[in-house]
Parts: sequence; structure tokens; C-alpha cells
Amino acid sequence: MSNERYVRGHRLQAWLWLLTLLLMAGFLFFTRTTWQGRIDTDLLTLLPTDERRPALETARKALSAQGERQLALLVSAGKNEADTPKAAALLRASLRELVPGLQAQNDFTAFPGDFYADYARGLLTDADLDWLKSATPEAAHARAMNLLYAPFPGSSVPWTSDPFGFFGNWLQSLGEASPLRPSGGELMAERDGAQYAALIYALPESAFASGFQQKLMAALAAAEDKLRAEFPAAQLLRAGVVLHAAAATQQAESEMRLIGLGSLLGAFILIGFVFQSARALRLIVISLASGAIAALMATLMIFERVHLITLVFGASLIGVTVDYAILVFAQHLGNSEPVWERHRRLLPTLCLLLLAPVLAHVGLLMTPFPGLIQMGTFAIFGIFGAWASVVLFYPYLLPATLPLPKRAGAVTRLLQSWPRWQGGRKQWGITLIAVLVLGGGLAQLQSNDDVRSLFTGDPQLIAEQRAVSEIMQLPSPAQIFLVSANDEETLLQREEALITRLRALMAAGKISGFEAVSRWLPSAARQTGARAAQEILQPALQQLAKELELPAEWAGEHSASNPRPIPLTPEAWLYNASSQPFRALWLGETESGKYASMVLLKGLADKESAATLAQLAAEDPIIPEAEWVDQTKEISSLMQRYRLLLTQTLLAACLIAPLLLYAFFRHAVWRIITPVLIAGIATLAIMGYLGIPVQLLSILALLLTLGMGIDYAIFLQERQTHAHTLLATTLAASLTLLSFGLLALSSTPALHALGLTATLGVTFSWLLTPVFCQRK
Amino acid sequence: MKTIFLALVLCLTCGAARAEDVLQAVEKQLILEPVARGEFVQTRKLAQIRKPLVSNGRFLVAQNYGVIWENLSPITQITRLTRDEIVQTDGNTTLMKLSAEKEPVVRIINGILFSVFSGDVAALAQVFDYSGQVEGKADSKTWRLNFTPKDNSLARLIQELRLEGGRDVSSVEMESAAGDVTRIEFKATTHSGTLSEAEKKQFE
Repeated sequence: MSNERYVRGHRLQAWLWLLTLLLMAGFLFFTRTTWQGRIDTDLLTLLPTDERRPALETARKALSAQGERQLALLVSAGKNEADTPKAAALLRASLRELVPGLQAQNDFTAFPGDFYADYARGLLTDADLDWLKSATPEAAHARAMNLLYAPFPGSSVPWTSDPFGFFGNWLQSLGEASPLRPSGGELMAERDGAQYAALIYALPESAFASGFQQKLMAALAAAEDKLRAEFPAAQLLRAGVVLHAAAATQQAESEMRLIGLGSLLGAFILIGFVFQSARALRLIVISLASGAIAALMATLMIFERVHLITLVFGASLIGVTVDYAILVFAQHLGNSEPVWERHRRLLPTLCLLLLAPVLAHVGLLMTPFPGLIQMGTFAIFGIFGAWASVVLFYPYLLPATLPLPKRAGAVTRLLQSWPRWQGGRKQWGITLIAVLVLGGGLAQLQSNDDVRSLFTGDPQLIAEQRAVSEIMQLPSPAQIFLVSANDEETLLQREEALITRLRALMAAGKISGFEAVSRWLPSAARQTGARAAQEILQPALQQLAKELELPAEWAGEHSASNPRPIPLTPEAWLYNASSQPFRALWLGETESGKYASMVLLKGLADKESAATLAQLAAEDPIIPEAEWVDQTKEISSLMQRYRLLLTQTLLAACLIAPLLLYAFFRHAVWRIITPVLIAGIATLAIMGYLGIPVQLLSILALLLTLGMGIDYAIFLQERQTHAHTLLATTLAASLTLLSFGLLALSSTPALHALGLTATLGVTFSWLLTPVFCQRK
Repeated sequence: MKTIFLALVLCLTCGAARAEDVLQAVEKQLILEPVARGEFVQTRKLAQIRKPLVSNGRFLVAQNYGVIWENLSPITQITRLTRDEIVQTDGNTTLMKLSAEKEPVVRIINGILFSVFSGDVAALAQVFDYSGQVEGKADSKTWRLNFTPKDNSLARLIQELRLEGGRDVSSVEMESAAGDVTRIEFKATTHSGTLSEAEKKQFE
């Protein structure tokens, strides 16, 4: 190929790439309001989905859909308890004023008796069912008389409709579901003698809608100020996904700014200092912008929403992507080679340099974690975008020769006096010591696959959430029983069998309660049984009718043969408003064609109890198809599986990379691979000494380090002007270090682990690469 | 619009002030002793039953203890209300037992019932809106108070509460949402500062 044709071909490619970039930039600019609204802050979307169990996925979705719109506030006036309802009313009023459409949900106060009254005859508590088994007509008569003459009506159901108090008892048993009781116009609960009023909100918008999030948080803060002005001793406890989401958003935004601006500023200062060229900076700005545009565009095209964590991670890519520009600059320093000849010579190396980090990020795509897959996608396209701009634009943007910077000379000299591996006796001695020291660290290395080590929330919010859950006795969404059956009736019967077991566990103090649909909606079998059991009451009813001169048909109305009280069906229950707070438990027909429901547990005492429940589900033949799901444990074990898989991938990469590189470097391959391998081992050893456990993300970071370390070594193997290349590598590494170092400051543990491991790995790679470099 | 609102506010505050006076006047009338005991006649009219249900017995109300309600005729039934529990027996066996630990509403209901039977009208005013009047001169004043619940959920249990009396509460009338009316008349009420040992035993 002639030089002229090469230049023309290249120019065409450059124009095409420029056009693509401009189109993408234009698209992103004009649709910015749309995609900015698609920035996701829900950490749960980063967790894996389990395609093998559709019912479980439906359950998780139902739980998070319900959770993301819930906000619970508990308020106590402090010293003067009688003021608590007033404090609650004040808080409610100021919130309603500040956030139009925000209505405290009073579904709990809505009297469910009116709805259930039509089905009353089939609704019996366990205790009353037992009582009926041994009831005599005399005992039944006495029971009714006792209620008739009681000094006050114990239930809101009139005696004539419920002469034995069965329905009243059943309604009262529903109260087990929540400790909140209406009093003084508010829903009240008690803990340690303190009274709290509960304000329960169903948010009009998702907790992850960022605009709404901000508005709500501002309103909450203002309402709290107002509350404290009136009741200085007031205590306010908050719980809701929206609070965590808002805190996470704020944190992620500030971190993104820190990492992004820190990396950019670092890049400009260092490059400006070393190269002293405005043109050099121009190339850097263009390459970084191209990377950002390509990454954002690709992520938006592939994923429905862009996660904020992806953007935080993306900010740390600045340090990686800036490397291409720097390495190209280095080739221009004091170089008189014609531009296009140099371009042609460098192209294969640059392609190789693209390959290693891209392949390293493919590791992220291999995990089942949607968040990590998105980060990987973002990184790959970002790196490619930055690389393409450097390769295609630098002949036009950079002067053919950059002057040798004076200040750079000192740095270069320092680096030239870097220790070299010569294989002498002394060096083997050091190696032996190093092996022992590193071995000691590796021996102490621990691993941690707990999913909770990936994400932590604001400790204050978590403490409040815990207090609210305790006072309101909210069930835990982390551990559930998933019950399934081929039809609704069997499903309810299975739930009832499970509940019998759970009541035994409650009596044993293993759990404090449960939430299940069958508490409100007994199976048809149970309802029929309840009605049949009441047939025994007929003599007593007839006697009462005679004594009290009630109409003759009154006794008949209470007979099981009376067709009027129809059984309560799932359709009727789901359709009625009183089931609203518990509807999420009913999953209905799932993708597999089976019917499923969730049973949630309250006050799971300890890990041992969880183990007991797991065993109960595994061994008990009475509750077939009741699956115990410990979500925290499941995700953690999934993380472990993928940590091991990625470790294997890492080891395989360590074996395959030298084979691939052999094609280019022949026997010099060991010089490229040795420093990277030692860097990885040293990183792990230090983590061992420091007691930092290895987790999925540290392995991912090592994979990324492998990619970057290989890059540095490759570039140093390039013959030309070795000292300048060393300088460039140093510059590139220090910028990468800056980015990852800033990422290590992140308070999201997942990003912190990634940043920390990568920082260590890159540092070692950079220190060791010149040691094994070929002497020129 | 503004003036209507203002007028409304003024009306409400005036009404509140007047009602406050009634409450204080009643409180001044009532004998304030920690223990009250006496006899009662209870007449209940249920919506579907023509015949009124009449029962009688004796009662004991003691501050810091609670209420013992002994129905002697036509059935034997002893109801004991303490702060955290309602227990009902027929003299021998327990018919019903409900604790606040299991059902927090017990505390609220017991508080109201204790206030009703002990004539603690100020406590009732916290959960009920009230109105009423005081008649007569100096020592022989009689009074009547009407209470309606502030809370919808309480209204399902007690639609309206009517208390009458002079130095003591002489009658209580409770009307349920379904229209059932229970009227309790008190007779031969006596007061004392302490409970006898035998009475203390009843609360154990």
C-alpha cells in the first residue's frame, strides 16, 4: 500500500468517526432531558436475577415494587405523650402542603369488618374451631348469654349477627398483623413505654425518580424543622427505600464529581507540566470526550436505564483512557520520523493496547450482576471511543515532533537509574525473601462473599429503619417462604399448613409473627369446615330465639345450610380495597403457570432460627411446595460462585495472554508477563496482611490490572526512545492510579474494593515493569 | 370567604370555651375519692329484640387498680378490668381473657371504661368531643354530658356516650353504631380512700 493511499484511507476513517461522534453528541444533547430521567439509583437493580425460578423473580419484583413507594414516619412528641397526635398532625399537614399529592395512607384504619361481614360464617379462629369441637348446647347457650349481658359490647358487630362472638374474635385476630392502633385520630404504636404516631405514605412517584426524590427530601427536612420548632423534644424515625435512594444519589453524585474532576485536573496538570503543549491537552480533551460520548450512547442503547454507580465507575475510567494519548505523545518527543511512517509503525501496537483492557473488562460481562455488566459495557465502549479518537485524530492534532521537555529530563534520568533484573546472586536472594514475604501474606488471605459487603447504607438511616421495623413489626423482605401450587385453593391450603407450623415456631419464640394471605383469605376448604362445625349450635340458637322472642328465621340464618353467606374467594378479596396493603403477598399465576404467594416473617430471632426454617421447608412433608428463600444468603452464595469462576478466568487469562503475546514478542514475553503477575500476587499478599478479604470485585479489579499492566509492558517493549516511553508509562500509570485511588475513597463498598485493589495492582505493575524491561 | 372562615374559627373557639366550663363545673361537683362501690341496674335494648334485657349486680371502681363488675342476675358474670387486661369469668371458669400485650386496644378501651365508671370526665374529653349542661343550685346541682368519639374507629364501638349525675355519676348510656343502647343506673354509691383487703384480693 502506498503511503498516499494509506493517508487517504485514514483520512476517510477519521472523517467518518468524527461524523459518528458528532451525531452521537447531538443525539445525547437533544435528548438529554429524557436520558437524564433514566439514570437509575436503585442499588437492587445491580443484583442478579434468577431466571431459573420465575416465581421467585415475581416475588422479588412484587416486594421491591411495594417497597419503593413506601415511606413510614414515626413521630413522638417526647416528654408530653398526649402531644404526640398533635405532633403527628402537624407533620402530616406540613408534608401535605409541601408535596402535593402526598396523602397519608389510612388503609389500616379502614374497618375491614364491613367487607368480611358477608363471609362471616366461614371465618373462624383456630381457638373457636377447637371450642366448637367439644361444645355442648348448654355451653353454647351460656356463651351467647354471657356476651348478651356483658357490661359493654366487646365487638363492633351487633350481637344478633354474631351471638357467639366468633366473627368478632376473627376480626380481632387480624390485629396480629400490625401493632398500630387508632387513637386520637392517629395510628399509634408503643415501644418501651413511649407512644409513637405512624404516618404511612404510598408515594405518588417511584423512590428512584430523582426529581421527586429531591422534592420529597427537601419537604421532609422542612417539615422536621417545623415539628421541632413546635415540639423541641420530638423524635422522628423514618423508614423507606426513598430515603436510602436519595442518600445514595447524593453520595454517588458527589463521588462522581470528585473522581471525575480529580482525574481530569490531575491529567491536565501532569500533562501540562511534562509536555508543556496546549496541543497535547487538546488531544486529551477530545479523546476523553469521545470516550464519554461512546460509552454513554452504547449504554443507553443497550440498557433501559443507566445506573448512577456506572457513571461513578465510568469517572474512574478517565485515568485509563487518557493513557492512549499519553503513549502517543511519548512517541513524538524529540522524534524526527515522518508522521505517517510512525503512524503505520505504531498501529499494531496501539491495536494490541486496545485489546488487553477491553478483554479485561469482558470479565465484568461474564457476571450475572446487571450492574457489573453495565459497568463493563460502559468501560469497553468508553475505552474504544477514546482509543479511536487518538488513533484517528492524532496525526492531525499533534505536531510531528514534540520538543523534549526540559523538566522531563530529570524524571527520565531518575527512571533510567531504576533497578534492573539481571539474575545476579543478590537479586535471587531478594527474590527468595520476596517469595517468603508474599507467601506469608497469601497464607493470611481471606475471602468474603457477603452481599452486604457490596452495599452499605447511611448508618443513621439504617438505625432509624431498624427502629421503625421493630415498632411497627414489619416483616423482613430478605427471608421469605415462597408457596406455590397448581391452583389457588391448593395454594391457600398449603399456606394454612405452613402457618400451623409457623405458629408453633412463634410459641417457641423463634419468630414473632408472619404475614400471609390466608390470614385474611382462608381456603374454601377451611371456610366450609368452619360452617359445618357451627351446625352444632342450632339447638342453642333455637332456644335463644325463643327466649328473646327473635323472629323464627333468625336461627336458620346461622345454619350451615343457609346458602347466603357465600365463601370468600381470591377474586373478591383481591378486588376489595381492604386487601390493598397485603396484595403484594399474592403473586397469582406466575410465568410457569403455577400459582404462588409469599409468606413473610417477623422478628426472625437469629441465624439459628433461619436455619430451623430452612430445615422446616426442606424436611417437612406437610408443606410441599413451600420454598424457603433466604435472599441475602442466596445472593451471597451466587457471589461466591462467580468469585470462583472469575478467579479461574483470571488464571486462564494469565496462561493465555503469554501465548497470544508470544506471536508478537517471542522470547521476550516473560518480560511482559512477569511484572504483572508479581503485581497481582503482591496485591493479594498485601490484602492478606491488612486483613482485607478478597471478594468478587477484588478479583475483577485484578483482571483489570492485568489488562493495564500488560499495556505498560507492551509499550515499554517498543524500541524507540526508551526513556521517553518510560516517562509516558509513568505518567499514564500515575493518572490511572489517581483515578482508582479516588475510586477507593468511594463509600460504596463495591467501588471502594474495586478502587483499592486496582490502585495496589497498578502501583506494583508500574514499579516492576521497568525492572524487567529489556535494556536498550 | 375569609370572613366565613374567621367566623367559623371564632365559633369553634367559643364553643370550646363553653364546653370547657361545663367540664370544670362537673368536675367540681363530683366526689373525688380513690374508691367507689355500689349497685347497678343495666338495661340493654338491641335493635332486633323487642324485650329489654335487664340485669343487675354490684361494682367496685378503684384508682390504680381498675374495675370489678359483678353481674348477679340473670347470669353470674364477673368482669375485671385492669390497666393491661380484661378478664371475664362466670365465678368459676374463665370465659374470656384479653391482654394489652396481645391486643393494644385493650389499654385504650380499659382506659375509657375506667373513666366512665369512675366519672373521670377530663380523661374522656381527650378521646371524645363533648357537650353538656349543669342545672340546679349550689349543693344540689345535677349535670348531663354527651360524648361523641373523635376517632372513627372508636365510633364503631361507641357511637355516643351519655353521662348523668350530681355528686356521683348516676347513669351511663352507651349507644353502639348498630343502634343498640345500654343504660346503666348506679345506686347506693359509697366512697372511701382505700380498698379493703378482701377487695384487693378481687384484683389479683
